[in-house]
Amino acid sequence: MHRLWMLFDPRQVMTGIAVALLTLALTIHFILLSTDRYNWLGDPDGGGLAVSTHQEAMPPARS
Amino acid sequence: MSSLSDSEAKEFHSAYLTGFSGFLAIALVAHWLLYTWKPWF
Repeated sequence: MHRLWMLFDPRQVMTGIAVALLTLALTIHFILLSTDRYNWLGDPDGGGLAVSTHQEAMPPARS
Repeated sequence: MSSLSDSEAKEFHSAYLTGFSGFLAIALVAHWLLYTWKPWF
C-alpha cells in the first residue's frame, strides 16, 4: 500500500486532498445553512432569514 | 513516478495514516454530536 507514494508525489496528493476537502466542506456547510432544520445562524422561527422581512403599515399621514 | 524510495514511501505512509485516523476521529465525533442534536434519519 505504501508503494502508492512511489507512484504519486505526496506533495501533489496532499495539495489535491486539501483543495478537494475545503471545497467539499464549504459546499456542505452552505447547503446546511440553506435548510431550515440545520441553519444554525438564522433565528429559529424566522423562516431562515436572519432579519424578518415583515414590514409594518405606514402611519396615517399628518393633515 | 515520484522520487521517493521504498523506505521514504513507508515513512510517509505511516504519517499519512496517522493524520487520516485523526481526521476520521474528529469527523466521527462531529457527526455524532450533530446526530444527537438533530438526527437526519
